[in-house]
Amino acid sequence: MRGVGRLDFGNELEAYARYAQNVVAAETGAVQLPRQAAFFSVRNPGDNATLISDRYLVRPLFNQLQQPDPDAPLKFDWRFTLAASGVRTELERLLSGGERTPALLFTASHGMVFPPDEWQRQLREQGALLCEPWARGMPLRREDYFAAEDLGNVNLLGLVAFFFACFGAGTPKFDYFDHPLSRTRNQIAPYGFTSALPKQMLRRGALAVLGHVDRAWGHSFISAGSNIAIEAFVTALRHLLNGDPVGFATDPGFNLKYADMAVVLSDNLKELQRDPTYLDDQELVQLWTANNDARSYVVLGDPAVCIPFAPTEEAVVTRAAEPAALPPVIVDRLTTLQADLAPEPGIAHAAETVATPGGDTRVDEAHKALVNQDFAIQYNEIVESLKQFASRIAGAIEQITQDILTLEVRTYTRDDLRGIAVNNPEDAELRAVTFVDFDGDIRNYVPTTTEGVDEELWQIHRDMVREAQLNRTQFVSALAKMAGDLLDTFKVK
Amino acid sequence: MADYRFTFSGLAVAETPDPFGVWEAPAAEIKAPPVPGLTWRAELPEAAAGLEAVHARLATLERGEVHLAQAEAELRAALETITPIAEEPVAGATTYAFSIPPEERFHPQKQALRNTLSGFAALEAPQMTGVVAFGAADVFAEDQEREGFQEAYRRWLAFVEQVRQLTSFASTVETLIAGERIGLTRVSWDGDFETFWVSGLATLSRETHRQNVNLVLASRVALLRLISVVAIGAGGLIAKSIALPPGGQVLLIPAAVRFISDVMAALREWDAAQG
Repeated sequence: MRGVGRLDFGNELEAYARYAQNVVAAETGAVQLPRQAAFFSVRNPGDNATLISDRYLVRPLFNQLQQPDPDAPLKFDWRFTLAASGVRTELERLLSGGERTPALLFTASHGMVFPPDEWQRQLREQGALLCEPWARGMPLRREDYFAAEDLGNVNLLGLVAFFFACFGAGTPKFDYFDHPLSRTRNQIAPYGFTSALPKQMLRRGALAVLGHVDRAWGHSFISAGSNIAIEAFVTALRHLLNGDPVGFATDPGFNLKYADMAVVLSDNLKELQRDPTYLDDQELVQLWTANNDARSYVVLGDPAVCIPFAPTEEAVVTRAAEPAALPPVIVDRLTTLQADLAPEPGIAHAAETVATPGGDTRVDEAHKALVNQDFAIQYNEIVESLKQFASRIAGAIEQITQDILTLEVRTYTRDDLRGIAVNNPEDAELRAVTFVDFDGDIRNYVPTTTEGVDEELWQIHRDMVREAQLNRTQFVSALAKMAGDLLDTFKVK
Repeated sequence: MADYRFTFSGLAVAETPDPFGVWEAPAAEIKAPPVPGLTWRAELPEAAAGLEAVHARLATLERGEVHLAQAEAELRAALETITPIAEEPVAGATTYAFSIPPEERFHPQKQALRNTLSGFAALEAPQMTGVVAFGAADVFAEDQEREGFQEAYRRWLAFVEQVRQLTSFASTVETLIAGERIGLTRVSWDGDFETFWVSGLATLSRETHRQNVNLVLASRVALLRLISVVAIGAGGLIAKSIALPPGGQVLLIPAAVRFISDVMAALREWDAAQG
C-alpha cells in the first residue's frame, strides 16, 4: 500500500469535494489536534480471537509505543489512552467528533460478515465493528456492532484511524482463503467494495482509515513460532505519530512484511517441489494464510495526508462541532456535474451474480443461524426478564399472603360439559361451596337432593377441599423457596 | 398406549418437553387455550384403565422427583470433584484447566460442566495462535456448543414462562373418557378450586378426574422445585468459576439446565431399561 490510497464515494461528487476540502483544511492548519492517540480493544467473553488480540496486539502495542526507542524515537509527546472497555458506547464516544475524538484511533475487534445473498446488508454493514458485551455463544443484536449508520452527523476532521478487523476496510468479490488448488473461486460478495463505516468516516472529516480488505488473521501479530510479532503495527503508528504521510508510514511495516512473507512462501513452495517432506501441510497452510493476510492491508484516503497534530499545546485548533460547508461556487459546480452522471449500478450488478456452487457455505449458514434464529430473547433481555420474573414471583407471594385469608372451593354439576367455559360457569349448577378462613373456620354449603344431603357429591367435594388445602401449602412453600433460590443465586432485585 | 394422552399446553410453552416425562406437547391441531394460562388434559379410553394410567403417571412423576433429587446430588458431587488446576504460565498469564476423575458417574454431563468452566477460565488465558480470523461469522461457525447452549436456554425460559403463567393465571385440568369431558377443574393461581362434573357421574370416573387434578398439582410443584435446583446449581457453578464476564452468572443457567435435564433423562432411561 505504499503511496497508494483509495477514495470510493461512488458517484457522490460532493463527498469527494468535501474530502478534498478537509485535506486542504488539515494541511493549512485550520485544525491542529491535541496529540492524543486512543486504543479501543474488544474482548468478547469466551472468544479466543479477541482475547488474544487484546492481550497480544493492542496492549503490547499500547505499551510499546510509550517506551523510548532509540532507533525510532517519537519526536513529540503524545497522550495515549486505552478505552476502559470494548463496549459500543466507548467507541461511540471516540467517534462522536469534536474534542472527544482523538487524532489517532486504533481498534481491534471482529468485523461483521454477511453472506453474499444479503449483499445490501453487506454494503451497509460488512466490516462493522463487533463490540462488547457480546459473548461467544450468545445471540447477536444489531446494537452489538457499530456500523456506518451509527456515526451520525459528527465532525471527525483530521482523524486517522486503523481498524484491525475482518473486512474493516473492504471486501473482495472472491474468497482468497479458499483452497489454493481449487479451480473455481468462491464468491463472497457481488463485487469488491469499500466498507461503509470507513467511507462514512471519510465523509465526516477523517483523513484516512487503514484496515483490512479480507479476513484478518491472528498471523498479523503472532508469528509462526507463536511469538508476538507486532513490529509492523509499531512501525506504522510511530511514523504516523511523527507526522509522516500515511502511505509512507505503512511501507516499512506492512509492505515489507508482505514482501518478506511472499518470498518465504515462494522459496518454500520451490523446496516442496523438490522435497515433498520439506514442510508439513499445516505449516504450509499457515504460511499461505499469513501471506494472504499480510497483503490485504490498505489505506482508504489520500496516502499523502498526515495527522494534523499541533506542535505545541498552545497551537491547538480543535474541530468545530459541525463540518464546514462547501463554498457555494463548488456546490453549484457539483450540482451541474452530478446531473450528468448516471446512477450507480449497484443493484443490477449484484443481481447478475450467482454464488459459486460447491463453495464455502459456512459463513452463509452461520450467519443465517445467527440472524434467523428463533431464540429471539437476547442477552440483556434475559437478564431483564429474570429480574421481572423474580419481581413477579415476589409480588405473587405477597398477593398469596394477602389472599390466603380464604380458600374457596366450588363444585358444580352439569348434564354435559361440552362447550362449558371455565371462566363463565353461569349455566352450571353450583352444588357445594367451602370457604376455609385463615383462622381455621370453615363455612360449607352442602349439596342436597329431595332426599337430603347428596352424600356421594359431598364426599368428592370434601376430597377436593383437601386437595386444595394441601396444594396451597405445597405450592406456596415451593414458590417461596424457588424465589429465594433465584434471588440468592442471581442477586436480582 | 396411543389411547392414553396426557397433554399440556399454554402460551409459548407447548413445545417444551416435560423434564419429568409425564406430560406431552399437544398434537398440532390442538391449539393453545383461548384464555391465558396452562391447560392439562388427560384423554383416556375408559374409567378403570384410565385411572390406572393416571396412577402410572403419578408414579412416573414421583420417580421424576427422585431423579431430580439425584441430579441435584450429582451436580453437587460434580462441583466437588471438578477442580481447577493451575497450569504453566503462558506469556505471563497462568492458565487454568478443570479436571474430573474419569470414573465418575455421568461423566459426559460432568465433562460438559467442566468445559463450561474451562471456557470461562479461558478468559484469563487465551490460547496464543495466529490461526484465528476476525470475522464474526467465523466465530459462530466454530461454536459447536452453541446449539445445545441455546436449547438449554430455551428450556429455561420455557420453565420460567410456565411458572409465570402459573402465578398469573388459572390452570385448567380436563379429564376426557372415551372422548367425553367428564371433569373440569379450574385452579386459580392462588389455589382456589372450581370443579365441574357431569351429572350422575360414576364414582370411578370421579376418582379418575380427582387423581388427574392431583397429578397436575404435583406437576406444578415439581416444576417449581426444578427451577430451584437449577438456580442452586447455577449458583454452585458461579462459585466455582475462575472468571466471569459481566452478567456471566446468567450464562451459567443453561449449563445447569443441561446437566439437570440430561442426568434426569439418563436416569429415566436407566429405569426404563430395568423394566
